[in-house]
Amino acid sequence: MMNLFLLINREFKLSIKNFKSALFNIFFFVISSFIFFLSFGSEFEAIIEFSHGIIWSVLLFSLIFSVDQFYDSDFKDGSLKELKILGYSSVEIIISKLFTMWFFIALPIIIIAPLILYSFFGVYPYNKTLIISLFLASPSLILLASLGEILLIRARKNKIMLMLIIIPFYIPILIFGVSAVDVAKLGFIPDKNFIILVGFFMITLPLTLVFGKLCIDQICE
Amino acid sequence: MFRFSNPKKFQELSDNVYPWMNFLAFIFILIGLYYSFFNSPPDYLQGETVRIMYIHVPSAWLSLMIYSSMGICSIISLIWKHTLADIISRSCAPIGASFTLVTLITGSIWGKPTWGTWWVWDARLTSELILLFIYLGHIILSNAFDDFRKGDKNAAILAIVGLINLPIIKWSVDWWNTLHQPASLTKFGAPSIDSVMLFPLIFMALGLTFLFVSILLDRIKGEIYLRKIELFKQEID
Repeated sequence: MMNLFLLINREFKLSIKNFKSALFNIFFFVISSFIFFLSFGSEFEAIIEFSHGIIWSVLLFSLIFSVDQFYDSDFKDGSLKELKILGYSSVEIIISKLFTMWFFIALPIIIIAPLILYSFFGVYPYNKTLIISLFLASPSLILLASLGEILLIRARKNKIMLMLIIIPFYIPILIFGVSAVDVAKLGFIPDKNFIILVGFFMITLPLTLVFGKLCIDQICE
Repeated sequence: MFRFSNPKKFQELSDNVYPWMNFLAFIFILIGLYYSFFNSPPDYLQGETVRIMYIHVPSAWLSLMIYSSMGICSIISLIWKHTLADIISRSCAPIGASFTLVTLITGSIWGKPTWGTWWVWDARLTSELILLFIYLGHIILSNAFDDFRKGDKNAAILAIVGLINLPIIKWSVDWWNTLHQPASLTKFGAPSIDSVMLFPLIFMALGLTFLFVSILLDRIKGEIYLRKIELFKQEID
């Protein structure tokens, strides 16, 4: 437990030092969602109809494009191996990175998404459902993205490759997350969708920990 | 069980089996095609378009079967570290991807006259599309590394993670209200398909399975030679 705390402390210090990349990620999210909204022109009805889908898909892309800074730099300067030699277990390393990723990548987007919607048409009526669904789904999205990143850590890689591997596993989460807002539009409480999103987290957490540990142990041999 | 896991022994076995598989595939597909085109009745509701079923359903079965064999091989390769399991799962992936593509294309051709649309975002169709994407991701990941052994291991992990999709495809028609019809062969009790239509379907399924095995054996042979060349190159360096 003490180890985990120390590792999270280290990751936070590193992320605050590299705060520029977190800002770039937020900037990417804002710009690309603005472009999406602009392409609808002045049809506000259509924007209100599709805005949650736009927010969701832009969130997926900005997550995929920003996960690589966490494992890549640590692998390249050898500190991943060094942490293993110092006696930290792979599971602790993965959990600390996951927590930091979620805090610096996903949380700012969840906070900013309602503000973007507000800038277009005042208070978005389904804000609460949208925020809860993003909040519940973002941990499993981060888990899957980091699993893909660990799998590709030594490959001749580019970001498109990570996207192709991860997107199929994102589709079910996207479907249930987006349909939560659709259910809310019909006037029901989408608690079943929320339970399914939590269930995705319950599945992806052990998967990522087991297979991520396998890969990192292999990398650090 | 592991007697044939030595690539050399396996090569001898597969050289003996390969011509028989080709022969069986040829015969079964010929009989199946004859019955499905000329000797089976058109459907009372769908008319002649029902004949798409004889290619659509067997390739859908095969796309699932190939993925599950890939998953089993991946588990074996992670636990016992057999090279042959890696070779099999790497050679399976393109074949499975093509069968999945055939399933999707024939399904959408069949869907146009019967459902009135080429494509719907339906549970069965979406999960089958995800299966295609997972196959493509497996192919990309296994070729992304300079050292093929790392590619094998990481692709095996991806295949095991993707196994979650198989039960979703299988039971998607029971769990959600979909346009796609539920299973008509593996129901409890008698299958709800007439034996006149069942006969060519079974023949096509067996024929395509033999075709899959013969293509697989061919690909495995090529893969073993490729690895020998790769190891030889490493020895020279």
